[in-house]
Amino acid sequence: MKTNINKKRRRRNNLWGYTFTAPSAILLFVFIVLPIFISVALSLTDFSGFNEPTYVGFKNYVDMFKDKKFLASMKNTFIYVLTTVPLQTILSLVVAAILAEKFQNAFGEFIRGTMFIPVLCSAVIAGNLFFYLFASDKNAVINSMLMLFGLDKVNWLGKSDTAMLVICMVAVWKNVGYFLVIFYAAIMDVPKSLHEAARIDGASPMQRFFNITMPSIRPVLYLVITLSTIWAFQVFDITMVMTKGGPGTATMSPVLLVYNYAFTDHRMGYASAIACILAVVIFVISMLQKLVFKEED
Amino acid sequence: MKKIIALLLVLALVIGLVACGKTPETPNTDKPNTEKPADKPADGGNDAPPADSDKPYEGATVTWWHYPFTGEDQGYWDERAAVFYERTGITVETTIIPWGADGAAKLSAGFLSGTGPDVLYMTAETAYDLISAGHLLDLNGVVPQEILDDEIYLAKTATGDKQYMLPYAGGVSYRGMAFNLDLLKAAGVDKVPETREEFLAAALKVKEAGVCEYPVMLPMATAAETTMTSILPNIWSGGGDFATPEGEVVFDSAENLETLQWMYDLIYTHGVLSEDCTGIDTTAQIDLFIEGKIAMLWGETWPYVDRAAEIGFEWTTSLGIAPEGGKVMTFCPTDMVAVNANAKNQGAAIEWLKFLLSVEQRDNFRETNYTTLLQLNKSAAPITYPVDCINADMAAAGEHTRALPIVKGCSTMTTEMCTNVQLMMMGELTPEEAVAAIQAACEAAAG
Repeated sequence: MKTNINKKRRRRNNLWGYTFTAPSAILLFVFIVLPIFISVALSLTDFSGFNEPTYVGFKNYVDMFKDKKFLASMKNTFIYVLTTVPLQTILSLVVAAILAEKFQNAFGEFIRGTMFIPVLCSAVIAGNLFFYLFASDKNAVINSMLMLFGLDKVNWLGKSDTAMLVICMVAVWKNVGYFLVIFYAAIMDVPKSLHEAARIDGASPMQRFFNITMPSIRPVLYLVITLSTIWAFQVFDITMVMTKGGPGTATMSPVLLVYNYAFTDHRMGYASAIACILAVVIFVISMLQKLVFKEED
Repeated sequence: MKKIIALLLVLALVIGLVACGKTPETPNTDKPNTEKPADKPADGGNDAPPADSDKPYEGATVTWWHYPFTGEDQGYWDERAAVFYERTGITVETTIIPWGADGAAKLSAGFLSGTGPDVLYMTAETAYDLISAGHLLDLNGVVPQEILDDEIYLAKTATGDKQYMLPYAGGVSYRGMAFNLDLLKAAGVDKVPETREEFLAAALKVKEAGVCEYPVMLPMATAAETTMTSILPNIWSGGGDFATPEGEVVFDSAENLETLQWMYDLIYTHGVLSEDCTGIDTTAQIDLFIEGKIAMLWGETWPYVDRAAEIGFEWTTSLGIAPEGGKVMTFCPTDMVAVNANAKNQGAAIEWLKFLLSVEQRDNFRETNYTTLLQLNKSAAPITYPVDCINADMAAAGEHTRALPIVKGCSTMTTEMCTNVQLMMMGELTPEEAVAAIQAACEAAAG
């Protein structure tokens, strides 16, 4: 009897749960899940955006691996990820550690606040700002500063290597504040008693950082690296505003390529195929990261 | 109780989201206050009006999509729609769509969902896809012949024997060259170059004299500038091309290789063109020209017209240069107007189209929106542009300008030309490699 009553109560509670989560679930399905399936379906067609899609099998996927622009965009993205992710992570971690260790005061708050401002700034504004800072003519800010010190002006956004460097710089500038706040909170969450005990035992700040802080914030470190990797693969706005993927294909990213193919070249089917491959790549890398962190655990 | 309140809040959220999903109507405070009876159904263009009516389509509504020109476009078109309404009783609802990919996305979504415009301003990049998908109406036999006969550039917008589009904004930013005559004179150059040989000789003199920072500037920073301004005028003037009207890719030719080699040599052999060209956009180049830092450059027309008052030195323009014995050709966008094959009221749409093509409306558009608009009507009086050198160029424009062909993959082809020529100008490809890469990529785009 009691079991029946409990079952009924559980069923009623479950029903309430389903009712409240249903709108979100429906929205999630309609705007996230369903478009993914539609995108996969479109990737098997020659849909231009104006015509009715015609099935072409895996032709788009075959063409993709012969497409120099796609290959260049993937190469650029790996360079971008390998540059920005470590830089952002290390910089934000080091600054957070220093602030947590030495500056738990108004000055520390000021630094955290200041470094968070770029995060609030839209990527489009940031891109435009740095575009004018790094413009190639000698009147641009950076070039005029270089010439002030007797150096030659640099064609920052017109050369392959320097254009990518500038893009990475903008991304790091924009994202460091976000991860700094996350790391700071995590570091502050490490029990002070551990640090006290280590201090009494004669451990230096560096030893405490690597042997106490780092192991304690591992989950957060995993989160930061995963997030920043996924965001790096999705880079679009900065490259769109500053270089539009150029010069040549020097700063072309897969997402920008998808945008160009879909809306400028009217090759929605092909663009969908690239988007699918990108999703698979991001998924594989995320799984690999999870494995790495799990193994070390 | 709490659960019920929470449930009600969730319902309110869902209802709010559903309500927000409705497309808001375009605000149109100048819209004439009139009742609109049901539109006449589209019947393939045979919706013959009552014989005794001088406003045969009174009460109909036409949707018109247009790109922005001045930033106050909605207000402008609402005024013109009011003028049109007085004459015809047809209400025109204007939507201003953004240039570039965002506008193309809106067109795509509109046509696929059946909410596309009745009359649309369109560019060559979207033309092929709209035509092949059957979205555009063949205007032959629908638009009165005398109107078609009055169009100077009718042939430029024909697709075989069909006329899906008509010229609308021709001449807008045709590409040409600008010359700082003071700098040229200071370097000992007395004649504005007309051939590549004269141009190179002048550039070398300017470089030797050291009178300015950039003897030559060729826009190479963005796709539109690179292809339309730097590549197409020079390959066409060199006697080459990238695609035939039938869609065959012909970029791999001796003429195009010669042209690309010539462009490459400007940087790497003669040193008259700075490697900065891949990093300085058109706006910055115009600024540098006005500051007297560039002696000769390629560019669009309208900035010189709009900023002529800022130029404090003697200057002139031309349509471009060609190899000795060749013919100067340059790019001139012939943006077009078309009618939706599924327009709700084709008759009313055609009336609006006729209004757009009239001398009166084109003159009005030129005066208020775009001063460098080409003369498009044979019956119109000759146009005088505010800058003398532009007048000479405009007079010759018809014979020396070309627009993009309406072929499959045209947009991709222009992007591929840009990408590979940029790589060439950065020294990462040789001219031969660039030609081969462009040919292969364009062939892939053409299917």
